[in-house]
Amino acid sequence: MNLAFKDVKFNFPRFLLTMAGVGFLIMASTGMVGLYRGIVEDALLVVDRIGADLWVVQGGRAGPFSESSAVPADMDRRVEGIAGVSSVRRFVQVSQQFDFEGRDLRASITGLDFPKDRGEWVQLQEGRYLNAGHFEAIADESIGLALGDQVRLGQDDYRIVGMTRGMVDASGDGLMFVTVNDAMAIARRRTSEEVLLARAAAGKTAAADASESSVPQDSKIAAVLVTLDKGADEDRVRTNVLSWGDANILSRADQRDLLLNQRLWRLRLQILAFTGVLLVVMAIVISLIIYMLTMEKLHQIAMLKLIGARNGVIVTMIAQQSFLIGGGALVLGLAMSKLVFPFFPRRVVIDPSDFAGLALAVGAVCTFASLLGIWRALKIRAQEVLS
Amino acid sequence: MTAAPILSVREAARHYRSGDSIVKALDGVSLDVNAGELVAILGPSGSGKSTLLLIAGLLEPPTEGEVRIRGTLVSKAGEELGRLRDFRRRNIGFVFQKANLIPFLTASENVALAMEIDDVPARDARRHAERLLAGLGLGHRAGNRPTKLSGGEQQRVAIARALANDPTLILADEPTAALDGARGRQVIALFRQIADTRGAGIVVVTHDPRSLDLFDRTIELTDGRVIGERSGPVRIPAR
Ligand SMILES: Nc1ncnc2c1ncn2[C@@H]1O[C@H](COP(=O)(O)OP(=O)(O)O)[C@@H](O)[C@H]1O
Ligand SMILES: [Mg+2]
Repeated sequence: MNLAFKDVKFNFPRFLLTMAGVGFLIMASTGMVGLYRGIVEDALLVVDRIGADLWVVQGGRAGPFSESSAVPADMDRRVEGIAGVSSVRRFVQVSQQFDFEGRDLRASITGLDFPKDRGEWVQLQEGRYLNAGHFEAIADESIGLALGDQVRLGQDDYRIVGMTRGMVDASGDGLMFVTVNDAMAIARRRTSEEVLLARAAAGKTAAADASESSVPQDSKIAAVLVTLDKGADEDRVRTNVLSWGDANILSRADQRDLLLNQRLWRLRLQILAFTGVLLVVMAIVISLIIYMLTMEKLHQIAMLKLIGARNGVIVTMIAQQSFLIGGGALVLGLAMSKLVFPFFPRRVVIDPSDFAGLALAVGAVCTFASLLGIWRALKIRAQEVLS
Repeated sequence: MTAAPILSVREAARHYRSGDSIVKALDGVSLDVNAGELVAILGPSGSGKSTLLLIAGLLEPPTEGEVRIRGTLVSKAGEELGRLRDFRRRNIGFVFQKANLIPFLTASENVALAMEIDDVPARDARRHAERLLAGLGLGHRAGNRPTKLSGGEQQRVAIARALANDPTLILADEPTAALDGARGRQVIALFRQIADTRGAGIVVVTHDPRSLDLFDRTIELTDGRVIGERSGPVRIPAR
């Protein structure tokens, strides 16, 4: 007969509770690791998916994610002329807070260089890509808008024609894709006071340029995305752009590095540190629980020795129970993670290899704890039954 | 009578050091128990009865002297007894004041466990356990866990467990202490029956003078020495 299993069956509610407790710890660890993965994935989402080989940004700056960047709106023409450049797109991204049906919403407005880019690199949940040069938007679910909603941004109303899931910027704000021109218009939003002041500063009257940009800076874009020809010499393009003096050029790898190691490194370190703390707590708690389970049974273990049970019987009972708790808790932890984390405000990535690593750690902890319990159990003498 | 006794303790002593002084828990005790014999050990508290049983049961080595089981020398001074677990399992059954049953196993599982750890196949072990329990009047209790059993029933399960591997020697340390008089006598009667039918040698430490008529022999200990030994059952005078 299987002693470990009989004991579990007899004390089932207690075992279930223990397992649930350990399961919650595993869930918390999964969540912490998943949060880390999620933040990294979110931060790199645009850089990885937008399909640009090179980013031409403001000179002397490492924009547009790590620092702000502003380049003239016609910079794309200049870049397009460089040998080896296959295509260019203009890129704008602005954080925007707006009111929708009495709710305060946030979005990271991202410009698509329509009609070259209608958003096809974005994975739609429902709806369609941009069809018109103006007043259409693809919004992420996390913003809180729905397909068909009309939302006022800047001076205009935009209709949500497509929906995405899980497309956010580095700080977790949902992305809303509009055309670059619309994005620039939204970024230009000013109070009429500001508009007047800006115009005065520019030495013009309101009447004189009703149709022109209010402030020169506002008609700038953040970056120019470059796609290279196959086999093009990236360094030649790079040297060429740098020689202009007013522009800097970054590769996709540069952008990833900047995001992870400049903009997010404190946050990443913090989460990693917390993950470490949590893993230590988990290890201690699991060891204690399993060790205490063995301690409780010392009398019975002494009895087993008295009636002549081999050490194998005792070792098996302790180890099986330990791994039953560990294994059950892992299953429970994973199930709860899958169930609960999708409702968390930020993405929690449950990476199979991360979870496998966690399972391995739990296995190691269970092994350690049962060894500790076994060591204690083998030390007890049969005659201690009598005390 | 040439067969070696089932149990033969020769001049066994056991000294415990407590602080500076040495407690002579056992001070040169000899005891022979033959097959089918039921022996009582009497004596005041602290007289060394339990110590004698631990030494006879190969749970502790004597400080001096030796223990033979069916003629084989199995324990002497300074012996490391851990390796005797297999021998113990096959040859000696123990019963104590408390039944010490495993709480998460049923009565029959508790008994069957003793056989399973001796490599008896699970099904045979279970069947034999149920037969043993039925023989002790516990057939209807076989499926109950210890907490559902009375003290007397628990003790009978413990006896069934001690019998499971058909040992030649059974050692019982105050098995009736936690039971009332009538039930206590039932337990001793059970030992009498086991000695008669199975031919096991049985040593019982007891305080209860009312059941002494069931024993073949009585040995009285005081301060670690045998101070009296009476052969033949103590017959309660007929009215
Ligand atoms: N492990 C031990 N360490 C020290 N002294 C002990 C130990 N076991 C028993 N003793 C002492 O040995 C004496 C005999 O004990 P025991 O055999 O338990 O007596 P009984 O069972 O007759 O009451 C007692 O004085 C007791 O205190
Ligand atoms: Mg005693």
